[in-house]
Amino acid sequence: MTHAISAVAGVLTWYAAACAGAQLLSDNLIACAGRGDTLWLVNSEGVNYTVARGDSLSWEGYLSYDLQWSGAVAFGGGRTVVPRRPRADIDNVNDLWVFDYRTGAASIAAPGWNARATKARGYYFVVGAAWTPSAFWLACWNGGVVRWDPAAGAGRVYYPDTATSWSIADFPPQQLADRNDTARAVFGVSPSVDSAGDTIVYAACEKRVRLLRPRPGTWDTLSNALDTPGVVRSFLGLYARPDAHEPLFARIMIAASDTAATVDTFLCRYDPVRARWKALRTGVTALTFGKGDTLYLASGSRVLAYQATDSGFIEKTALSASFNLRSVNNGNFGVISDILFVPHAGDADGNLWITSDTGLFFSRHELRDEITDSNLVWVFRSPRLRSGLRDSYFYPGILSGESPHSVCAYNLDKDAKVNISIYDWNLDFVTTIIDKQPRLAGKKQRTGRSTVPEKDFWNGTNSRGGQVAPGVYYYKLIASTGERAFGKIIVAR
Amino acid sequence: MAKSLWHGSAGTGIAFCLLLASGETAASSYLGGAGGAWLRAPAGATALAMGGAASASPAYGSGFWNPALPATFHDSRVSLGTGLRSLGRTDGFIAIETHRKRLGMAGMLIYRGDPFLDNLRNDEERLLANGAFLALAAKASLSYVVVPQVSAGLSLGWIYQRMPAYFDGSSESMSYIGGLDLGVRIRPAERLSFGLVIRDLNTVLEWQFSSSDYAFNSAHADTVPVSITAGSRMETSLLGKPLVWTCDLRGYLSAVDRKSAVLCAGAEWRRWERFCVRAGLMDIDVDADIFSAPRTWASHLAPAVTAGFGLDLSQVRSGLSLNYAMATCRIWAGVDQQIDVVFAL
Repeated sequence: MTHAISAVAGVLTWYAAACAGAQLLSDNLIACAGRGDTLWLVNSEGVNYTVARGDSLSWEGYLSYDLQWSGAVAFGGGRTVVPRRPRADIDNVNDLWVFDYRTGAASIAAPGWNARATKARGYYFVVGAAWTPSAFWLACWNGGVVRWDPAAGAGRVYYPDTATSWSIADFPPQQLADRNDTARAVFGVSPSVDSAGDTIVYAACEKRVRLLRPRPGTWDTLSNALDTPGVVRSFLGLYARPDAHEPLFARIMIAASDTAATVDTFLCRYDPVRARWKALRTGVTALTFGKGDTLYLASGSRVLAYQATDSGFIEKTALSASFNLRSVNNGNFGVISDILFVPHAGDADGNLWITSDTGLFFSRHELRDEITDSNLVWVFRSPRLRSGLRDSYFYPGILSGESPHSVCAYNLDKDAKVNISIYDWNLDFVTTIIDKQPRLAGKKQRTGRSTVPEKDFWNGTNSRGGQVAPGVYYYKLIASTGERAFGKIIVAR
Repeated sequence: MAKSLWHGSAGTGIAFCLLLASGETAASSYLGGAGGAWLRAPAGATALAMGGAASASPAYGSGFWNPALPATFHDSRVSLGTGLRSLGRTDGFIAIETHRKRLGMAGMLIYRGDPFLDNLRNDEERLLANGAFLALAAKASLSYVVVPQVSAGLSLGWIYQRMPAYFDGSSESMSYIGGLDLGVRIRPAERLSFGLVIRDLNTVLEWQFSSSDYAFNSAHADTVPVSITAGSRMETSLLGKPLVWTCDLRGYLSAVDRKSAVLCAGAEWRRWERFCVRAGLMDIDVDADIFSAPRTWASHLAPAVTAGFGLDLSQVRSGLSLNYAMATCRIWAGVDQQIDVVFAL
């Protein structure tokens, strides 16, 4: 019952925000996740999705507003899950925002903690999530690792250094009531498989990394010894290949001593033979695994490609200038927050997705051994248009040699046949772009628009194919339902 | 007599029309996109109210309509006006016309533009800074009465245009000196006038567009279509009150890729001593499609219906008059309005 009320309240909140016309921007992206053909992105206002294909240069999803970001997104099994921030300061649990990509339904779900039992034992927030076939794994602050099945809405708690698991509704059990340790505080999870092909889950706790083998329900603790002077202050993130238990990377805050005031964050690789973490480099904010032995690191506004070898890593190519593609704020380039390699099915290539504070980029033709600046493309987010042709425009509004095509963006309230014509300043007819072409209402389209970009564009020519003179032009968009709109375009070439 | 002269005037127009139609002419739709579109709109509320037909004998603004006229005026005139057209287009003008014996002179500055370019987007669909399109044309005219029934004149033009051309909000501008207009006015009878005007000879609009990528820099030299206008004006009466008919047939000889023509007609009825009403039809496509492809012709047929009035304010100030006009928008996006004041000195 509580779950149902929570879900209804969440959906209503989401719906109200959507109706209010809030806009998610493509800036300030924090994290991304994806598999198959869908890429999910989180920013400070909500979660978005786009189709993870090289030929899709526009975001296609407009999903959640006022999501109250908590910083993680996971995708799998046709669903995406984003932990929400607590709704009130007094809450000690948080909800999950769940979107079913196959049905298009968004909902708010609770992991299922027993609120009364957990109330006195601190916070049980979900702070990280990852997917393995059939279930999400949730990293819970004070709650260990939870295997959560969204279809069943049920969770099972795996508590570090404890050989038993519990239904989340029964947690905490009596035998843990008096236990007071830091092991249960899990900040991140990274699933993988062991040499036998069974699922394993690495869990980042404050001082150590633990390894959960769900099938027997056992935990191992990895050493936190370093091959450099210093001590582990905290683990910030874990990166394990989903298809192999080696290698394992972590971002670790390292201090000179337990009492040192300053810390540095290193990307480290775990050496299982020596049971030590090897510090590789500082300044790394994200990591993703490419095909084969390729590894991509994000550092500031750079993407670095490495090749893993038995003796270490060989740096391949640095992309220091990649964000020149979209220079904003007087030349301040974006800072990368996350990167994700999505392999193409059936070949050796894939696309590298890059999220930053200035937007989303992907490498159009990613090659295994090569990244070049020109491969990177910025994927823009099309603004939401109000229905009924209350919003319409051509973009770009200035036709130039660099931008020779201008697409008409519009959103019909109902399916209709559409005519778009161009006129000059004297309103002499110039050309018809589309004539009585059927178009779907925007609400039936994933993009929220009725536009067919491949057809609803003007290239600055008249009805006989000749180039028009530079100047101001006007368009008339009229639908068979009676909706109509007018606007302006400049031809400057 | 007057009736037969009117028939003669109409016949001249029709003949001119057929002359254009017999060649490689097409609907004025083929004119759209040619350079200097803003030069094709009528200037002045009186002319607009009468369907944009004022080439035979404009009340004022002869620098735009027919440079042969100033020499025939009996007084000097200063006129100024402004207009707001549909879709945020604006215009304005100031004109002065004077004469000395058989020599007439006129000067006119015409403004056309769109100061409301406020929903332009870049290629990322981000809103650009508001911009404005500005176009100015200045014409200096000289005319001469050759014989009492015939006067001739010419005017030289200067054109300036400025418009947003880049996503960063900066604009590009161009100016040109040298456009030439030639005009003749024939008055075979006291109540009948004909005008023949060739406009925009050798008028070239040259743009230079630069780019962050040198490969996309471009220069664009765009020739404004030369137009030949045959106009007529006949004075008659209706219900015992003075009635003026005007008709202009304007052919464009160097449109974008084909020739085209439009017909404009209007009337002014002086029912009251100090007040007159005007009405007209503007920009009726006239071309070979009437016969060869009537459906195509009809689909692009979008004349504007015009109306207006003139008010003699001599009681306020000697020689002062006020004119107002409104016209339907050819694409039904609003109405065009214009208001002028004229001082006859």
